[in-house]
Amino acid sequence: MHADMDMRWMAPGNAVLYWESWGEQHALFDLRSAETHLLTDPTARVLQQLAKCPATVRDVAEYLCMASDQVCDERFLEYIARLFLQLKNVGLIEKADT
Amino acid sequence: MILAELPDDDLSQRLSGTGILVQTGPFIVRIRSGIDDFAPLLKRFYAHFPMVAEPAIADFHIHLKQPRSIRRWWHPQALFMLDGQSPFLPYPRSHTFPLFEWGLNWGIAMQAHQYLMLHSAAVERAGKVMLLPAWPGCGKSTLCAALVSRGWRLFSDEFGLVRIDDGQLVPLPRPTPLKNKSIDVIRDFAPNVEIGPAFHGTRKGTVAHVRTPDASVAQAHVLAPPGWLVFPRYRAGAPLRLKPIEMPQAFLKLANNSFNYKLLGLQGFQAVTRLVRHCDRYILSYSNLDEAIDRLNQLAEA
Repeated sequence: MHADMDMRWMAPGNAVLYWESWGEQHALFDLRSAETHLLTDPTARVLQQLAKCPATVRDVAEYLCMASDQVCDERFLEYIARLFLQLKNVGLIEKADT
Repeated sequence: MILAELPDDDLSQRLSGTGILVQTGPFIVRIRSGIDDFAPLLKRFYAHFPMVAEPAIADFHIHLKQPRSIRRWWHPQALFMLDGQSPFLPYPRSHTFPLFEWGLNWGIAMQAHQYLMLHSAAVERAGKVMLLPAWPGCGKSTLCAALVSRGWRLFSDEFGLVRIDDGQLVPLPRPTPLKNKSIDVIRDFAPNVEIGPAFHGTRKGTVAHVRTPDASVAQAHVLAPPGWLVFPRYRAGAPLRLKPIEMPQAFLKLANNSFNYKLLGLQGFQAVTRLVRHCDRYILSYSNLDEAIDRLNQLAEA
């Protein structure tokens, strides 16, 4: 099951998320849950984008493609949707639209 | 005053009364004991530890006593009490000294949350600390005893105590327990090192303690920054290998190795990330102590 492509999601900002980045690997401490997460670079970018403003899977995928000069095809959309789902499952993002 | 200066009779009398106060690293421990065999071993292994004058606030109140059960008549036992509670079942009375050591370790691990506590040996050379984090069976104590026998300052065999606010390592030098084959390994490796009596049939097999070098005790108040993270892994017959590891891997290993990472929350995260950032990081596979020590000496001299 993937995150709904048109649903907007949001992530908390740096007031509750503390980052340590080592190149393409990132550790993240969530002050709300006191959990530590190790994230790959794409997952970290998705989360950081959602912390800036609520967005859909499509919004974030298009933004990341634009930033890396890539084509945003269906496969990439599905990949980003999976990352959304993983972030949702560990409580790092939540629906912005109620 | 150090413990060695206290006459034997006074020591026994005070242990069976209000106890003595001993400074070990940053902690003051009140020790009481109603078990005769304990005092000579305490004096032998803690001879150069400072005694603290009364009145003082102790961090740990330890009382070793004989349980009052009928069993004591044919199977003498020792009961470890910490702050008035007995966290463990009684041990055979002949194991009172290892019981004291394990009990104090347990108390520190349960209470000293002003520090990030790593399950790690820590030794110092040239003003920097090498942390040897490992779970039991990896050869941590053996390697630690070997390094100390070759001039490294003992910070601790058991705890990497990291001060939260600045990341400095806090010494906690105490006797190093060797287990089973490690006892003879260190006897052969460092014949001049003083190793105490062997306690057979403990939960960890045979245990014997290496006496803490006096110089390490004398410098127990001198903190030092971390320099190296070396995760040791003893494997019989394994060739020596010192392999650098990346920061994420070191972070994971260190966080999982800590006694209180989770409990410290954000402070734990920040303390571990700072350690990983500031240290050179390696996995050490070894079987030959001489080779391992040479390699770690080279690392320190580089």
